[in-house]
Amino acid sequence: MDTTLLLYIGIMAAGILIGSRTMSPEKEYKWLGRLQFLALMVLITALGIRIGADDKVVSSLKEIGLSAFVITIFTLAGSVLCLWLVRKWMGLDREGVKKDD
Amino acid sequence: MTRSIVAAVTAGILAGYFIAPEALVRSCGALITGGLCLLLFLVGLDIGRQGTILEDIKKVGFRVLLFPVAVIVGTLVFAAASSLLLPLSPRETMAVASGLGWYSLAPMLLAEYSASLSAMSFLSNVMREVLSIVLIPFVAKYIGHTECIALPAAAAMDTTLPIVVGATSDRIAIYSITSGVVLSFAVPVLVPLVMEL
Repeated sequence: MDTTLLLYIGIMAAGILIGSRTMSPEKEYKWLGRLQFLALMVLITALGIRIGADDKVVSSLKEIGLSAFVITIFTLAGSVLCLWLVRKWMGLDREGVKKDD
Repeated sequence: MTRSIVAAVTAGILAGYFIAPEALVRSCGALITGGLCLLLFLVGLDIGRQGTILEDIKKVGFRVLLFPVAVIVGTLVFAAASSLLLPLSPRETMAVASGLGWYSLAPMLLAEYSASLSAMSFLSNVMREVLSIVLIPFVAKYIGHTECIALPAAAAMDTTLPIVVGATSDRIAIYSITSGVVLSFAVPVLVPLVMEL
């Protein structure tokens, strides 16, 4: 929990505040999607450069990928299972509708 | 979208591996922080613009918050279990999984701890989104509609929302968005928290 983290959360909160005050939910903002895509591409490329420049990471990329895959399968199964339990406990049917409604 | 992501990361890795001028790699840190700030601000605008999250939660009841909690519990418990099969500690697998599908944020948060964990987090969270897109129709058909929002976790509010709604019904949209927003807020808290364990 350092200051960068507070900065990130603060910036997101500022965005939410400004978005709710100045923008409309009905209007379509094409520039917003485009800018998000651009920022995402810059980030992902920079992340790739970092991965590629790190010899230790590159030499074990195969194992890293395999571990990532195993973790992902487990997390997907775990989250679906937990949500299913919560749905049953809340008495919702498969469509997410309360049974006694 | 998926293709652009794969292309960008591949280009980056190749550039980093073959060209890699020290100065460029070092300036990546600043680029990442700056880009992340911009992205978080834009995501904030997008959430704020819809402006109805709190009212939505009130309308369907605060019980809806149980869904993201279930996603976090299921993700972390099963990630810890996956460490039994892998040469990793439960703390490490949980740190990777705690990105909850937000592949542009989680790897940056882990970068200060370990470069390989950061790379693993990126791959795993991208895989979470891609596999979600593939699995949502099957989960909707054979398990249940609400369970679909568990697959993409944080991405349930934006990139995978159309797929969730398409495979289920309009009533699931509200669950998908609220769960995605709560999980997005959880990521920057959860990742460092797991690393401090």
